[in-house]
Amino acid sequence: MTALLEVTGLQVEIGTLPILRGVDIKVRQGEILGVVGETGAGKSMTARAILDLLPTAATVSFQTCTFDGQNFVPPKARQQARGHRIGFVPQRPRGSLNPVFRVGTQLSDTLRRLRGMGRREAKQEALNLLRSVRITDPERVYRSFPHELSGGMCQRVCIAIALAGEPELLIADEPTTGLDVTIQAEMLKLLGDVITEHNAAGMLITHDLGVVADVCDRVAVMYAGRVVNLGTTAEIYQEALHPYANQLVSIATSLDSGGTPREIPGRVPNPADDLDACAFAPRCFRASPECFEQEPPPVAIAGQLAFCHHPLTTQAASR
Amino acid sequence: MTAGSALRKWDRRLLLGVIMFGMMVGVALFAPWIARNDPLAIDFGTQFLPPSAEHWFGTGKLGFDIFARVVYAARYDLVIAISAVAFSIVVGGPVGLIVGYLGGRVDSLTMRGLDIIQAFPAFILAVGVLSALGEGVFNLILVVGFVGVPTFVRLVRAEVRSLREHSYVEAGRAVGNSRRQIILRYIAPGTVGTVVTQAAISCGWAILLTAALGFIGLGVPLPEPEWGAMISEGVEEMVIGGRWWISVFPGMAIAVTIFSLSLIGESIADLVEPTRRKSR
Repeated sequence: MTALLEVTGLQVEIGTLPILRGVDIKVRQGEILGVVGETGAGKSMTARAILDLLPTAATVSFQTCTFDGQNFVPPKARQQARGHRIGFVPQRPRGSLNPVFRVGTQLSDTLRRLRGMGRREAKQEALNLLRSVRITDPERVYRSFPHELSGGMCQRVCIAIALAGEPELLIADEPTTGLDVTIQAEMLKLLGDVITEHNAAGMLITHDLGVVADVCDRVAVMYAGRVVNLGTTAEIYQEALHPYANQLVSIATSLDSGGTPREIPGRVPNPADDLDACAFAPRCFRASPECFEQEPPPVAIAGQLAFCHHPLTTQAASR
Repeated sequence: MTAGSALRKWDRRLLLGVIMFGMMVGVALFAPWIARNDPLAIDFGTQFLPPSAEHWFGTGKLGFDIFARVVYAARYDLVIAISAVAFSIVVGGPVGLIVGYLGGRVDSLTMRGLDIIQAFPAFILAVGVLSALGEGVFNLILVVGFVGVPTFVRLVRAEVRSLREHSYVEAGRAVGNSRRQIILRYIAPGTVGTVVTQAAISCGWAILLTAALGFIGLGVPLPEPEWGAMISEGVEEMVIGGRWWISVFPGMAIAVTIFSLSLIGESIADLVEPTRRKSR
């Protein structure tokens, strides 16, 4: 499978604070990549950097950034991809629709702008899109204002808008934030299905590991502005190499099976902190002096990639 | 059901406002048919008459018929106030939208410029500019409108600065809207509510400024009737002579006009901000 989006060495600073410290991320054609990590790990920043949506105070630099073979380093290229090639499903769906216009107007305006449709054609296509996100009464939703709809309905509409330009990649930034717990899983399932149906790839940002297991093909685990572990969902779930990813997964799975809530000791580092060579070292049960002094090396085992001095391998000798 | 009744309530307010304001506009348009007496006729035989069948609103110091003057004054006051406020909005609104959205240096330069204008009391500024331009209704409109520009720039700018941080604006950018589309479709509609509400307030304020200018002889030149100037004329008579009718009737005219404008303003604010409808 070829890479659709490939980002290497993405750095973002806000003022002098490093937020992203060299993120490498790759989304392959047709796959759904889950990006997980605690709040402040830089997940949303990564998505915003790709779409050039960061505030002007942020300085963004890439080593490389390609999308379907095209160089995406110039901001202009990334701006032009918005909507057309990369769809974006925002957080907090209710706040993400323009409150002044009816849902139908927003959707068909987007269609007319992105696909050059006429008024009538756009309305038909808008209704089709609403149907494709499993809205059973598209006519009513089409005529509604966002504040007349439930959060879940708004999120469906947001997904429909993101699909309007027939993008090759859909980036969903914590799409279940602000939704009822009862419909979160349903929404993510829908998102996964819709991405597949539209022959697109997906990048799903979340801090909910349970979600990832159901929907994603591969998972990138982020910590303190870096991707620390990358692998297929099965690999990350069964034998994550990085101690952080491993603990994250074991906590999530023990919670799912009714275990007592645990947490990883320590706290997520602040961007203002002086980070050790391995940012996770202060919280890591396997940390040794070298973790604090030397950059953790990349370890690749069976398709999985981790940055760690002491990866959790069953056969430690294979390094 | 609830949406329906809320809508009807909203309709009633708009209807009342439109009827009242329409009445004032009608008075202005059909002044010659409504007022039988000549508003400019000086008659020392009919000085200070209280309201009667002959002179509904009484007469003033020079024997003017107050009713006729109140009616004819609507022409001046409405035209001046509405045109001046329209001028303020047309100039101030777009400036506020642009500097509010762009921020940075353009924004601070504009705001410092406004600070300089607003450092002068509005009245002094109007007197200064008007004496430079010369009298006349057209210049009066320009000056009253100009003095109101900073209010609208600030209002719109403040609104834009909070609106542009909303997640739907970011979402709009994320689906490829250009900067122009973002300003016009995502941000500008959100400012209309406050602008319209302020416009109604500003109209009243414009009438008062016009009156104040009239009082010192820079407004609508005497003996042409103008509400504010008429109030000023009558204040002394009311306090000393107990002749209340000279000031009260033009005052009521101003009150009715401003009240109707604020009813209209509020209803339009609800119309353009659909989320407000539910909340009342």
